[in-house]
Amino acid sequence: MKRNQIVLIVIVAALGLMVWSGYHNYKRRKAQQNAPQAVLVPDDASTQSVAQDVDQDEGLPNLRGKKAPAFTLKNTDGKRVSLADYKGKAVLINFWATWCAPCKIEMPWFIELQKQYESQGFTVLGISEDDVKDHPEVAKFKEKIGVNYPILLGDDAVGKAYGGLEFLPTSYYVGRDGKIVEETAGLASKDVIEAHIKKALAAGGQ
Amino acid sequence: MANNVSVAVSVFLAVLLPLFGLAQQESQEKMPWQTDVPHKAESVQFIAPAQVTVAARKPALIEMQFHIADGLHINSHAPHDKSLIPTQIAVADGDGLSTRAIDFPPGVDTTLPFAPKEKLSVYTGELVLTAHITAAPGNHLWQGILRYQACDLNQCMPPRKLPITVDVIAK
Repeated sequence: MKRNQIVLIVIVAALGLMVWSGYHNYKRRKAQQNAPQAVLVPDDASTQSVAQDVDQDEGLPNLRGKKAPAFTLKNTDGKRVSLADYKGKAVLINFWATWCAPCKIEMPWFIELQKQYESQGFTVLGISEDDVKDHPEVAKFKEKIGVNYPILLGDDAVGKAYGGLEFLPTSYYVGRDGKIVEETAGLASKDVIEAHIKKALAAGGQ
Repeated sequence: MANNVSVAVSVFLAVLLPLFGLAQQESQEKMPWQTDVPHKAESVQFIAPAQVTVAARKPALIEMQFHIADGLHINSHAPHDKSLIPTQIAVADGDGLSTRAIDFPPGVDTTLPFAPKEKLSVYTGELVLTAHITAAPGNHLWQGILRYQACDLNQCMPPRKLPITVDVIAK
């Protein structure tokens, strides 16, 4: 009798494990179906591949917790600006381009959030991925919409340092200690952006 | 004896059935022995033709078929916003082969959820571009590069170049 009970328990446990693993598998396949459908393959054979440790769901390198790669770039006035100039501040590094419609949607939100959180030690740094020949258009666009934060002109090195930039917009939220607390690819809602800014402000302490 | 058999069957079920469920999961992930880089689908693919036969020294057409990946769009040849990157073809004519023009279809006007007031002129799905050529007798290689820039609903990919090669036999 006791042995029959043991057998019954084992059978029930086995069936329970099977149901759990099947459900988990279904959820995982559902998540994969909802992920972005296609990723571009670089057409230039000399282009380096994306950094290892890629977040397969978002196509982003996983830089969370790591020190934000340093860079020095020119702004639209020709002045050199470094990430190190903002040491001790929370920074939103936003990669964008004038040919990227979703990028231009979120920039007015960045303008508002820059005003709102600047006094708490926050700034946005916009890095344009436009071709060199289109840099004058970058400056015009900046003036047209009234961007109140630095717009820097990106180069290949900074793109590679931040994972190759498979998608735009791509944003990195850097805490006061210089470490990346969050990274996003694609258009995000203003609420999500603000939540990430607060997270960056809270990270790294005083 | 019967009890031993039932215990054996129970153990069999307890061990192998969950493994079956887990194995279904793992079959969708890269196995440890798979060393090749996972294939990434290109957002635009050149489908056909690989080869055309045309009358020599007479105007002829190459109808190039492309497929734009599901969920993506590329700007048409004439986007409404000048800051957007149009779809273009650069042609490298060789000896005995000349391209007079490339026909692009009109784009389809669409709007995106985050900008309902802004119309975009785009291509999606299947795309046919037509090259007007003239070829001297013999075998030639028609070569072009399609430049395009693709987006989905929330993000954009950098501009890309797709090489196109068509074998042209002129008789």
